Amino acid sequence: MFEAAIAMSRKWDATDAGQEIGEQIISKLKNKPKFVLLFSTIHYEKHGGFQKFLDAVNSKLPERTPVVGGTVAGFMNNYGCYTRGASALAVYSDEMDVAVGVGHNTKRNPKKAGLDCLKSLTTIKNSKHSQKIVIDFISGVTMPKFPFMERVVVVRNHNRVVGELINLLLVSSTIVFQKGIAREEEVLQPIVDVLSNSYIFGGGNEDDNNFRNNYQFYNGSVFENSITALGISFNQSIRLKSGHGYYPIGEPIKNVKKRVWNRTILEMDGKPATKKYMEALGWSDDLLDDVRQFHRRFMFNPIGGFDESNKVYPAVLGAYLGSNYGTGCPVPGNKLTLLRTSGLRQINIIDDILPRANPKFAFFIGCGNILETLGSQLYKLKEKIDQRMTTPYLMVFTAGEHNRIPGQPIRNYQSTLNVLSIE
Amino acid sequence: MPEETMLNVLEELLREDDILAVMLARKNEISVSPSPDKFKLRDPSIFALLQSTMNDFFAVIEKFSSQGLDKVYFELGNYEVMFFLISGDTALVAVIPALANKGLLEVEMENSRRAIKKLI
Repeated sequence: MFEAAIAMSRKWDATDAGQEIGEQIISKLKNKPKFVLLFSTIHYEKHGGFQKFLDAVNSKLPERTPVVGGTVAGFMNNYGCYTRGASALAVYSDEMDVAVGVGHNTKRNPKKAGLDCLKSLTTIKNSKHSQKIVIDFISGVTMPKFPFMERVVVVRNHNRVVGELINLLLVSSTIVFQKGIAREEEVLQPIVDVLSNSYIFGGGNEDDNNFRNNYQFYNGSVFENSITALGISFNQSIRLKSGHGYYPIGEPIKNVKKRVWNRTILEMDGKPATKKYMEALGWSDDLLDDVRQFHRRFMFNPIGGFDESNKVYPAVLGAYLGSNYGTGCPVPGNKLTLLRTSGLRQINIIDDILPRANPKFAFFIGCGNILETLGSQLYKLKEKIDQRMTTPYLMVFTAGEHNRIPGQPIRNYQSTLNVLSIE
Repeated sequence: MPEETMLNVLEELLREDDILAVMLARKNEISVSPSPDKFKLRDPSIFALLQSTMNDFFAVIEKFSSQGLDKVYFELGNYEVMFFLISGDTALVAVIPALANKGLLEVEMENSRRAIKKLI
């Protein structure tokens, strides 16, 4: 016996929304849920708060129902596409073992956070069921705190000394204030080391793509700067696919110097990275004057890196920090290239990753960049899913996506679309 | 048209932080909009100007509607105006800050447009 159900609320008040989610889960499943993946947009921060939201969900669920999730930029499910509200995926199986874990201070001490989270998850290692997966959510990247500055997107100065000073501030902000880099791969490595036969599928929690704040949900508690994870063991087949819509253009870029946990590129081809980037694009620095167009312009033309299997992954420009090309996720490899995409290519990613007809359920994690790029065209992506699937599905949009297939290293991406389906 | 229900859709949309003003504009008819005191515009004259020029807009919009015109955007100083066409003579119009995350707002604009289409 296997059941999956999607719950959703569009109510503005945190308590009302939480109750509606809980009630829908109970009414749609014939059995008590084995776990609930719960997500909401950042709105409830101002409309009652996330503790009330979570209390309300839990008030309707059976006691000790495992709940993990957090805030996301938006979501898509069988009913539509939304950038306000809450949605949940609830699952029951009579042959399933479930564990939940949590770890704190992911930005300051990621290894300890990962080890703390792992403590509870290790129970699935000895489960009699053959398939094992960890579904996790980690506090995503947030805008760093710099003295006397509110939000730094562009610093027009190619001096390497200024670049190194900015890198120092970025590292300090991350460690001292926990405002900055998410360091997901460091959080996850202890889990990968111990649960080596497990799949991993997760994303970075975020707000409305402003990167001010985000929250993690763990059973009845709300946390910040944490990892919350669900370990599941069962016998159904797992299918995990990942894709993006970028393709390489131009000459390979070498002599790369990276900093800040591989999130900033200081130099490319021996030149200040931002200078080289603008030269490769053939664009003038004057385009940086209009900060409001910054992300829209650069989202389609990022730098990309190659992983060990020579697959290219995008590292979209998040901030132009002096000589540093700043991005949200680690830039893979030391050979880089300029990439290009289009809105149509972003929609067509789904053709490569979509599950075979009607899995038991599908859980998608997509980058908030894709949501921002497609806007209302997201419904075109949904149409493609609906043509193929009638079973429950949920897609959430996060700040960075990560996954792992057993035997392979953890991959921490951005601007990708990923799907976990149970078939 | 069931105006009160239309109004509910518009008022729901207006609750979004970055939707500063909203209306359902109709050619040669009075537009439906929440009470202007609910708007979050620093410069209310922009909305008054939009209302008073809607018929001129529709004269242009109608010419392009047979070519599949779906949305119109324009930047207006510190604001951006989004037109989501519902038919050749009806449009959902919203004013947002120039620095807003337009992609996210578009998703909720689309949901409102779909809700209004169901009501028409």
